[in-house]
Amino acid sequence: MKVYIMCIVQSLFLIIISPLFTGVLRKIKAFLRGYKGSSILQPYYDIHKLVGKSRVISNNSSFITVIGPLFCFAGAIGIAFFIPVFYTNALVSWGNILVIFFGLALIKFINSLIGLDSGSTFGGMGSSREMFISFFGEPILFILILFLYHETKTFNTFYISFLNSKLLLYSVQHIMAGVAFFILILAENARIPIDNPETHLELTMVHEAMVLDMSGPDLALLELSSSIKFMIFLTLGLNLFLPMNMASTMEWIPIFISLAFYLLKMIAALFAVAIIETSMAKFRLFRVPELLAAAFSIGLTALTINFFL
Amino acid sequence: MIDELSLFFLILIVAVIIPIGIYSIGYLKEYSEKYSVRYIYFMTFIFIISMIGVILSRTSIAFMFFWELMSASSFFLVIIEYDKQKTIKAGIMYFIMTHISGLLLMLMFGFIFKYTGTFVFSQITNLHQALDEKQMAVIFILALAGFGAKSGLVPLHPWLPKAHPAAPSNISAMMSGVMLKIGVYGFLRIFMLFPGKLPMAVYAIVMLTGAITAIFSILNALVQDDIKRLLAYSSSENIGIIFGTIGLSMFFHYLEMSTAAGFVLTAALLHSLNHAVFKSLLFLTAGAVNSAASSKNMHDLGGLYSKMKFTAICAFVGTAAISAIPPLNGFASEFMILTSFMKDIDVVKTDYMVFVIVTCGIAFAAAGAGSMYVAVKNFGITFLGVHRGNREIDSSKITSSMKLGMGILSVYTIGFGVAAPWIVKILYRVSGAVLGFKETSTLYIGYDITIFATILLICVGILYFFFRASKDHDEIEISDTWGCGFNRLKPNMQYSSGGYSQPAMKVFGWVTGYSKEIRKSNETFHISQKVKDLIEFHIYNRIIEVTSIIAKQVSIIQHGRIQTCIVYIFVSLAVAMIIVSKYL
Repeated sequence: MKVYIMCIVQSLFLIIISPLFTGVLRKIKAFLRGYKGSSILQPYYDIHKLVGKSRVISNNSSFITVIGPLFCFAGAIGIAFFIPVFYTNALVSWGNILVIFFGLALIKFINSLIGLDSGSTFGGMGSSREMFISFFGEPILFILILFLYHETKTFNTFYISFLNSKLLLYSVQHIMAGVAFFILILAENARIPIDNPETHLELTMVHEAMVLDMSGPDLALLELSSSIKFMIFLTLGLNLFLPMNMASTMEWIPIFISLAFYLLKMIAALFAVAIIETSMAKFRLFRVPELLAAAFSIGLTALTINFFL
Repeated sequence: MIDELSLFFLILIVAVIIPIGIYSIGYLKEYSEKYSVRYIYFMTFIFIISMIGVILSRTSIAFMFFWELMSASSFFLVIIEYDKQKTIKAGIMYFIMTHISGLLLMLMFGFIFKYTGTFVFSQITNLHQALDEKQMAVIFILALAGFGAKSGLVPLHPWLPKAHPAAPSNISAMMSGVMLKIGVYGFLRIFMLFPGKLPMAVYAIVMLTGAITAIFSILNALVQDDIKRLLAYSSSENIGIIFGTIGLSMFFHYLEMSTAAGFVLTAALLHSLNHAVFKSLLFLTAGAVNSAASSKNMHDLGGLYSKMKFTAICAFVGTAAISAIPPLNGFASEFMILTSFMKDIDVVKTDYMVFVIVTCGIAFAAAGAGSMYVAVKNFGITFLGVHRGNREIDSSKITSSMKLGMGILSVYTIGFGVAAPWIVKILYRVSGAVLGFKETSTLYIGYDITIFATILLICVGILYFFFRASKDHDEIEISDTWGCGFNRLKPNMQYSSGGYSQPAMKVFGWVTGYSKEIRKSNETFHISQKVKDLIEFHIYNRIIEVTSIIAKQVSIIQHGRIQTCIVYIFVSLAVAMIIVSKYL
């Protein structure tokens, strides 16, 4: 019973802290670029401001605009309950890794329909590009899940991170798979070099273009769900590939150590994302498949090493 | 008499046919002005009876009789709009393909008779050990080609994208939802009759055919503008996935890993059931669109939600299911299929089979993402945005019986997804019967789907209460779509169906025969996109050319007199008998 409560608590923690991580990421980027930047609590203020506003919807919009943001946010919350954050256990029976990634596809699916819903050109553009990119993302995901399965013989994320947290040395193939997953994170969450989340330029329109016609609380829900999705991806990346010092007992000290390590690792991962985002330009859309093909090859190599050597 | 496999497919047929039947009552009203509805009902009746007959047959003669009856009645259903040149052409294509399928199956049953000396299935099972590997391989390759031609495996698929748009939508739904599954049933029946070991290459062929079908069809589906052509290619993709999964199950059976084989076969059966449900649903919504907007070309559609809300919501459910979005049924089977291509592969000791299995898994994962692309395009371009064409939309043509039919299928779609952990336990028994193992343990896939569905429902309920129901309901401001400062947005400025799939075509255009043509006339540039089915273009057209050359030569000895024709028939029969008895 205690275990289940702990799982729910850590997921709630992830949901609540997600905007803070977005704020931290912006702060790091500002620091790297040499300006002061907004407070790390700014995403919360933004959400508060948006929720207070009234809704403006397009006269072409349909039920997708009405229920889409709710389903997006509900999907993000639902998936947050399926992943280990800073506590893991070998006994948890839910948390199938395929359910997690397909559940996150719900957000992508609703987002791309929202893009088409208002009948604007930009929305369609974003939607089409999002689907295009995810077409290349899926095989990488398959390879990486297969890799993890082959390494640990389970599909349960809690169990995978439990087993991997006991690893003392990371093998070459493990690190390679981690790198491939990192590229996948950037692609699935519309970060540079695949998409630029900061601008509304036509060239960079993938994620931002789809939510162009959303306003007020709807926009808040969508922004929150994509921020939670990003943090779920990063947390998964850390807990599947680098889960050292994760707590697996119900004692206070390991949990605090694990929480501290989790925060540190998250900040390090955000720092890596920030470095990529400040030092690279966005790729042309048609060069994205090349990047993803590279990630695919890395994953495939990792799998081959694990399988045959 | 009736075993688990037949019972499963019988339930599948009945469960899907009933809502389609309810839908047909309203849908065929439109046809009653021009065509004979009684004829359609009669043919549909024959069609359904013959499908059930195929499933219940216990001898190969009865099987072939009902199989041919099914082919013939479905041909007459395809050409209901007989006054259209295109329909007749598509119908003839279908007729030929379905007879090639029948011919291959006849050959297969002929070989089975030759090897075992009986037509009765129960006796064949007892005698299967008498066959050696090569004889088994002959039977399975013929079965794959014969049943594959009926189900739409590449390269025998080109009748699907022609026959489905030509037929009325309720017929397409029946053909795609149910008839293609009869092909799957047939293949499984042969597998059940001959549970022995095949050469390993046969398993690889089955799996790779499935993988190639999935990838080729989904890329072709992506570029279609006609909703029903798109759905037809997507059916072919799903059949590829089902056959590939069956191939894997057969391979595990070969390795004598009965639990793994049972899991994989359950995945294939679940996908057959789920595909029958959601594809029928999508075909029915396409039919409703066609009735109301009198077009099934996406370039003339768009914004249909405002006119036909119920249809749009049903189509949304079907779209989400085919995109494998949890907690709908498409997800349940996609989840099991991908799991089965990952699980247990480290037991496989043959290196090239590992390679085949991983390749298939990657192909099916990509096909899954591709089907989301296709489904979002289909739903988004048709129902969302602004109407592109200038035709009137008459939503009164969507009668309540049509709505009821689509509604029932939508409920199935949701129910089979949420209840998947329990459904697989039942299906596991069917796989156990097919693979011939008696295991008391049940299949456990975890209750994640149901848990996720529950959390989703609770969260959406709470959010709805906070953001939609309680406050500010009158505070919503309805305004024009934001055009980024540009205020003369026109319907044709939206993303079109061609534009939506264009990025993918820039990368995969060579698979779909994609070409762009730019013409200039009076200061205006016209850009048109063209696609063609490469297999049809390069292989079928060549065959047709050669055939017509031969036919011209043969026509010299044809005089149109019935007596000479009878002579020819008997001579060829005699020759055939000599060939068969001496050389085969």
